[in-house]
Amino acid sequence: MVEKVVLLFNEVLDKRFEHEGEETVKIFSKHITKMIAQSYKDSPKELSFVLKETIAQSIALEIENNKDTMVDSLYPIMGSMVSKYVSQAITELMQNINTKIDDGLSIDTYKRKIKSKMTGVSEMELLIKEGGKAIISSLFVIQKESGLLIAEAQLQDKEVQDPHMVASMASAIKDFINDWVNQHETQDEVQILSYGASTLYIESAGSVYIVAFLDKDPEYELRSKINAFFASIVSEYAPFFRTFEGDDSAKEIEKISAKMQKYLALQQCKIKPHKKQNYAKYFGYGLLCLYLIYLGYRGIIFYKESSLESKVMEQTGQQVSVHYENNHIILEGHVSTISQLNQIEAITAQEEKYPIYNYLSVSQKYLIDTEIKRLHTKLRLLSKASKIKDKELIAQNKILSTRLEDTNNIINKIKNNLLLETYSFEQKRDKIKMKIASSLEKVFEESPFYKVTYQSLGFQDLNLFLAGHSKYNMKAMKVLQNNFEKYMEVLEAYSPYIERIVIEGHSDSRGEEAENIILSKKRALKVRSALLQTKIIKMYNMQSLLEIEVFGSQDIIKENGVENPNASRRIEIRFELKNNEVLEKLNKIIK
Amino acid sequence: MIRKKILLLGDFSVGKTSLVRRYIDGAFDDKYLTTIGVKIAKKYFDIEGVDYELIIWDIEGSTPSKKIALGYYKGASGAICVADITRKETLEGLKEHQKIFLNENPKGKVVIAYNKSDLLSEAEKSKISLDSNTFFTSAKDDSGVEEVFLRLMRQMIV
Ligand SMILES: Nc1nc2c(ncn2[C@@H]2O[C@H](COP(=O)(O)OP(=O)(O)OP(=O)(O)O)[C@@H](O)[C@H]2O)c(=O)[nH]1
Ligand SMILES: [Mg+2]
Repeated sequence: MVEKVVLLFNEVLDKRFEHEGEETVKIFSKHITKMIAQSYKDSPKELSFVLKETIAQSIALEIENNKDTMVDSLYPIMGSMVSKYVSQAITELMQNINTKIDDGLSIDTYKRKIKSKMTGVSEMELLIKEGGKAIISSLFVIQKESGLLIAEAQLQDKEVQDPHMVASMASAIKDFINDWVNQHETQDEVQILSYGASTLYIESAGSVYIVAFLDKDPEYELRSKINAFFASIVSEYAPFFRTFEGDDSAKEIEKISAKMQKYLALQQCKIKPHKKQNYAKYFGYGLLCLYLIYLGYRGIIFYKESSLESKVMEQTGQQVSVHYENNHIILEGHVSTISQLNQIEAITAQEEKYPIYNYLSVSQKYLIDTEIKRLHTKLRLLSKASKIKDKELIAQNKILSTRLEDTNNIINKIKNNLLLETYSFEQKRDKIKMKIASSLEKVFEESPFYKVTYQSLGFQDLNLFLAGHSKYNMKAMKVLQNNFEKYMEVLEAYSPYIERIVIEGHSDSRGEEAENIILSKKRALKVRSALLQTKIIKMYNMQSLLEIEVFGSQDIIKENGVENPNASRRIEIRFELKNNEVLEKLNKIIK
Repeated sequence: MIRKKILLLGDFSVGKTSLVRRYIDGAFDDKYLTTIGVKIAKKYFDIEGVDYELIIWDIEGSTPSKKIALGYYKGASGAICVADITRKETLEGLKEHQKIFLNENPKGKVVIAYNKSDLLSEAEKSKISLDSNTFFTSAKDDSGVEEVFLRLMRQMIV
């Protein structure tokens, strides 16, 4: 009932506006501002929602017709933040976004273009009239603070060309508007930005904006669906979004992108049949034919492009892309040398008369890659070579070590032989020594002059010399000579083994040592000449065996710890067997 | 790939847009087309094998009477504050730009470009002492431009 009345009332009002415009407007305008103010107080959200549609439309129209005046008149209302520059700035940014939204090859766009040509209705209008639901072509997650794009998903034939730039631009626009909104304490956040053929639906959540790129304003139903989807992403990844620092290698990004991509794909599945209906309704077969002709035209160009590309490939081995665009040829891609860059341009110039835009670049990455490859092979060769060297070294090492072993064996053998020889010789010598010792013992029996331990004669109690003198006592000398003859009689039997007979001269420790040495030498020499006179020496010609050794006071004789100078002043006689020294030398070598 | 937002700040007509143009397109124009709002560009580069992309926000020149939306400053990792070496007041403005920037981005890095250095003689330049984060630049003669951007990147990476 109430509804019907309201409707009726509205109708009446509408009629009155039409026919008696001025009068009614006068009456209404008195109250309308009050009404608006009141309802703004009561429920600002609703009001803004109701007014948005009408106001936005009228403003847009007004701006279109009378840009500068409009902006100027808005200027005082919007405050210092909004100047005519501002609207221009936003326009520019939006324009940029539009050019970056690639609609160049989208089938929808061509349909629209053809239809527009045929019917004379502007593309824009067609776009608005085209029924059906809005389609989301891209989803962006943008970090609020920095405007950096965190993740994106796009429909294949409607890709935004440079998503990172567009993300920053969108966030710049949003930044600016929010700034203005804050200054004017309006509660509504701007959510929809439209310009030309693109609409951005922006939802702000925590540290990110999530932006949906659509072909028209989304309806309420779609908006709430989008919001629910956004909410699911934000609640799952909020901590990641907060800590994002521009690094796009994070694995979360892939997951988010995949999720959004799936969302986009699902939407397309639902919408397709609907689109087909529209297609049939609006264009029919004629359009299809035109479209096919167009495709044919594209086909020829495509053929030309690909034949040029393969020619370049043939002649230079480089994969580059060639495009025909507005009577230009565009060369794009990476080549490895600058000369190739020029060569490719020359090849293209031979084939086509169109001006060439050469956007080929020598890829640094490529250069570095080849350099790395080169180094790798070099390294491989080097390591191969070094392996060979290693093998050689190991082999040589083996040979050397076997040789070393051999030598060691030989040395050991020699050593053993020597040891054996020495051993047997020493055994022999010891036997002789023992024989001599036992014979001497028998001969000298109890004699006080024979020293059993050293097999030597010692004449310390003979008083042969007076202290300080080298003149000897004749009697004592006789005793010495007799004993010596007995000693030599034994030794003579072993003469081949005797190296020498040593006459040792000793003094006491009194006086200067130098004089003691001289004195003991004189005494030894005197004794030697006396002994040379003995019969036995003469008989067997053993003169050369007699040698002297001089000790001075080195070897004095002590009794109860006190020197007995008479005993110290003495002559001692001993024998030495042959080869003592030789043996010692050998021993040294072996050690 | 690691992306970073950086800003070009400075009074109007000091050459912010020209520096970006020189850096990205390698070109220069004598005409003055004031930037409205913000112009966004990007530049790829790699340092020691890591890929980076700078998202460069070339912001309209500000003056005390025309302040910039703070939103532009947010979330930037670095800024190049530009002055026109032939206009004293733009040099004095540098401090203010730095202050606002660091206020919004306490961890942000700042380098300074004394632009239009081609208009000074060598003798005049030698009178001005520079610290390690300040550079003479000329978008016209292409001197110091790469260096100032590179310095900022290196600062941001450490
Ligand atoms: N001689 C000289 N002129 C320069 C140099 N850089 C910029 N200009 C000129 O200075 C003028 C201003 O340059 P812009 O780059 O537009 O300055 P801007 O800082 O972007 O200005 P706004 O966008 O208005 O803030 C232009 O006429 C440039 O040609 C330079 O290095 N040397
Ligand atoms: Mg500028």
